[in-house]
Amino acid sequence: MKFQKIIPAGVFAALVLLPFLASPFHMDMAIRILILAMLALSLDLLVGHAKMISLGHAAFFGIGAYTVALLADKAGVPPLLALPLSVLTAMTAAFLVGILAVRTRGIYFVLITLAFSQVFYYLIHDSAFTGGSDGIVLMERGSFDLLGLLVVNLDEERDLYFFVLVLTAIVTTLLYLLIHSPFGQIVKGIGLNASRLESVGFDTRRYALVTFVIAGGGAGLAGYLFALHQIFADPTLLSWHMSGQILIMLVLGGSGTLVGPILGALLITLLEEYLGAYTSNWKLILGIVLVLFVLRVRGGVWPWIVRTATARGRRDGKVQP
Amino acid sequence: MDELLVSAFVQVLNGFQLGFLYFMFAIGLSLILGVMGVVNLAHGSFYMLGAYLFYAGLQAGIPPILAVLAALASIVALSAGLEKTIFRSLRNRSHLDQVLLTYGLILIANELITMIWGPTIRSVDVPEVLSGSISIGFGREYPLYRVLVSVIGLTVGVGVWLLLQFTRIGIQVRAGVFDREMTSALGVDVNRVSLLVFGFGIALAAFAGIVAAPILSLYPGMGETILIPAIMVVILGGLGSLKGAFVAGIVVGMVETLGRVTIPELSNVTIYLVVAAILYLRPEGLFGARISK
Amino acid sequence: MFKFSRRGFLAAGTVAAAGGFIPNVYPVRAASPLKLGLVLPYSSVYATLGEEITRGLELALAEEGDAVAGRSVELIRQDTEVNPKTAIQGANRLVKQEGVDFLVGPVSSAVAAAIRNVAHNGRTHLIVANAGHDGLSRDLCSPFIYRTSFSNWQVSAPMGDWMYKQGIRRVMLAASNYAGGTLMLKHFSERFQAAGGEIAGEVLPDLKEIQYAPFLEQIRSSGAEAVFCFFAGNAAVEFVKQYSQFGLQGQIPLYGCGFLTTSDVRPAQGEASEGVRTTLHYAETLENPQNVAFRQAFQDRYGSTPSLYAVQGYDSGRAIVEALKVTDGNTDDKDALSRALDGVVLDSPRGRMSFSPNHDPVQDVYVLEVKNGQNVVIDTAAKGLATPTDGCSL
Repeated sequence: MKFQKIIPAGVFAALVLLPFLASPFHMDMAIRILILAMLALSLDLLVGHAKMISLGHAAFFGIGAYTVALLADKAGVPPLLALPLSVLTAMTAAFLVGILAVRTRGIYFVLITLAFSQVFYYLIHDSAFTGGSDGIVLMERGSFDLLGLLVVNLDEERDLYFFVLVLTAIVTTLLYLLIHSPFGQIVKGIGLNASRLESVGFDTRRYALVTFVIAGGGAGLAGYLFALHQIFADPTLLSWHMSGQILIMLVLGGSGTLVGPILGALLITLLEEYLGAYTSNWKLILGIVLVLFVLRVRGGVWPWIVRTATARGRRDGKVQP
Repeated sequence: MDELLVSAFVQVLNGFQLGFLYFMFAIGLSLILGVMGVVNLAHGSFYMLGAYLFYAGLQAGIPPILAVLAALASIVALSAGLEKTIFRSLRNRSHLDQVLLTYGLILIANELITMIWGPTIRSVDVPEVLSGSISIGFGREYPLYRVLVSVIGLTVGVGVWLLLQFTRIGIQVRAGVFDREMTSALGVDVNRVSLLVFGFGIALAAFAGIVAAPILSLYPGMGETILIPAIMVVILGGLGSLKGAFVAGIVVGMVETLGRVTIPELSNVTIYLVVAAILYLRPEGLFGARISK
Repeated sequence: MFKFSRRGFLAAGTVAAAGGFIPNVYPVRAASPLKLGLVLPYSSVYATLGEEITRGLELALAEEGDAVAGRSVELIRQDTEVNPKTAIQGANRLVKQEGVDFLVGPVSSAVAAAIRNVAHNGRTHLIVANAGHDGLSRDLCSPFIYRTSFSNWQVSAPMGDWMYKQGIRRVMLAASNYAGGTLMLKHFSERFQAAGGEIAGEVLPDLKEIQYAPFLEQIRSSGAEAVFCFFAGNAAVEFVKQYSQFGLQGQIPLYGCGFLTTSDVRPAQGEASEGVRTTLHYAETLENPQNVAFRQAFQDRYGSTPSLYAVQGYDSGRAIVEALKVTDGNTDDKDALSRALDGVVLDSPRGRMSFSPNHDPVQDVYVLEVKNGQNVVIDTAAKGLATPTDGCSL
């Protein structure tokens, strides 16, 4: 299973080299994929590990986006300062939804997260302050200097790309550490058998709430980057269709793994881009793929790749490390 | 002053009408959730299909009553097929799988509708014979059809209640909601119950679509517009509870209607706040039973 | 030594002199096709509007023989699905990958706001063929963005003055609950109240909602003399129909922005639309020669009657054509292109039209009334109206 370490490393190297090799259009697409990957990873903490199926994750994504947009538009707040604020507002929103949601289980949890993300959607959609359904346009992204060493100008596509890449790498690493920490074990325990965990004395509700808030923060960061990249934020970012899309990314790529959500984000973006160019009815194909996928495939694309690769290794008679 | 009272009375009537519509749609969703344990996000798609098939029937010149029956029959047949192939296996799958599969069905349904009937919004006219108004006193008239919607809703409610209370299958369904594993252990043919509940629930959704067609617009995605309030109804009323769906349906319909005319800017969020408050005190909903899974 | 014959010298001189008179219509470099990227909805509810705009544009190009300043034209359609996120991706592809010379569209204001930066930062001219987003000519204005349609303010504010002049003092407002709707009501109210009028109240049904019963009830009990509203598309059909069904037609006069009774919704409204008065920058019944010719040409080419949207698409095409005539087909010098567009004056089917300093159309706004199924011009609410430039420093 050495290849499980090599491939991600190789991919990261490729990503670092990308801006020097690819066209501006493809670099733009790569930025989008990285942001969506971060979003998918944040949801996977809930869905893949704690097995808490949230259908309202897009709300926190949108809130992160709107925070930076509003701060820039109304108060001229520079981007670096807006980053922690975006994450904080998203986490606060996640807390508000979470305290109610974690008191429920199973189906109720799914439905409640869906329902309450709608509150945020409507608050933003119906308010003139947030630009209503027309959304908010950012005029420029701004720049900041890094410890007096170099100036990062986010209005330069390449600088923005590396900004996004670094943040995505940091978030991925943090999530990896979190999942393999004692806290992460408890989160997985909630996913496996919450009642047993509770009987041993763990306050699963509190852990669930913390997980929910962390996931919300991750989504908020992704939203912050999204608004910065598109220089635009609108209410559809908070719609439950967006929440559904994130879930699709997880399932297609493979939830519960680190690579899966990233792969899912890549697949969905490519699907949308190239299938969408073919036919305006691409959603029909997506729907059929989804149905067949759920019925036939166990796991996602990444687990399938791992299975196929390890099976092949076994067939060759090689010794598994 | 008088004018305001009459106006308020009319709004209350409107609220009941919407509430009954929500009830008819939500009861199927609630039963499927409670008995089968399946999150059927595609419930709204059957509502949409019912409305469009009814519309298609009318366009083809079929008399309204026959169009209703034809639409219902096709959808019941479709649901039976879907139950056997897809939904039966969903019963044992995780909620994530259920959410995603039914979401996929939503995408398919919306695209198919768009491909067949196009994306423009359609409307159905109230059938001639029902298009009059009745006097509600104070010299005011109220559309007959809208009163009919409430009457139909009430009839459906009573009918379902009778079925659940007094038929064997009804008792099995109620038992299944209460404790699925036990019911199965006692020898009830869970598959048969499941098929009937699914078919019946979907038929109700489609029927709600048909009834609503003359007063709401038809467009791809109309199912999701009613799904969200219906989910609030189910959460508020409690999974699998007929009484809950009825009470919650009226509450949601009333809050939405009255909210729209009194506090338009906040109307959309009001119902969520109301439900949040109630859930904080009673997480299983007003009449919810303990969830069996 | 070579013989200089007088004749030879005269001949050479004549040729040389004549050469100076050949107009430099065809640039020396190879004439690449003119690429127009159409960011319009081709699926979803607004699909018919997207098609209408495209048809108008195609007609304008056809009238030039499908060649503008010696360059053939290539139209690239990019479906926005009325989704800002999708539209940004599409516009990005058009600008960065296809390298289009112009973007034309969109229908929705939210989409327009979304792609504003794609056009501005990509230094690609965007001809707005419908979206009425006020900001596009105010704080979001750009040297590269020109509008051939209208601004929300242009088609709503003038009615505020006009209704007051008719003696109306108390008005009830209604609109679909989204930015475009609420802003139209705000513009109207500001003018109406400034003139001395009073707003009785406001109802805001959901964009996709067409159960208007509760709202019509509120209107009835408001004590207003008239209603001013904004609804478009199917919402307009249903609102006007139900307004009549509820018995309000004839009881409380209905006014609105022109989209309430445009040609795409009037057939479905039928009798219910009689007497409804609106403000709009175009009417099918306008009798100027351009409109007559345009309507005939459209009918001949497509076999259907053109709508307001077709006119806007047509004028977008004509603006591009006229600008390129000035720059000799050059689309690389963006500043020259902007200067050319600034100077464009069109004899449009709607009347005379030019661009104001903030790139909105300077045009007449008419008051229309539906009589016998047709929108008839009963007055002009504002002549040569330019939109306010606050926030725009062009």
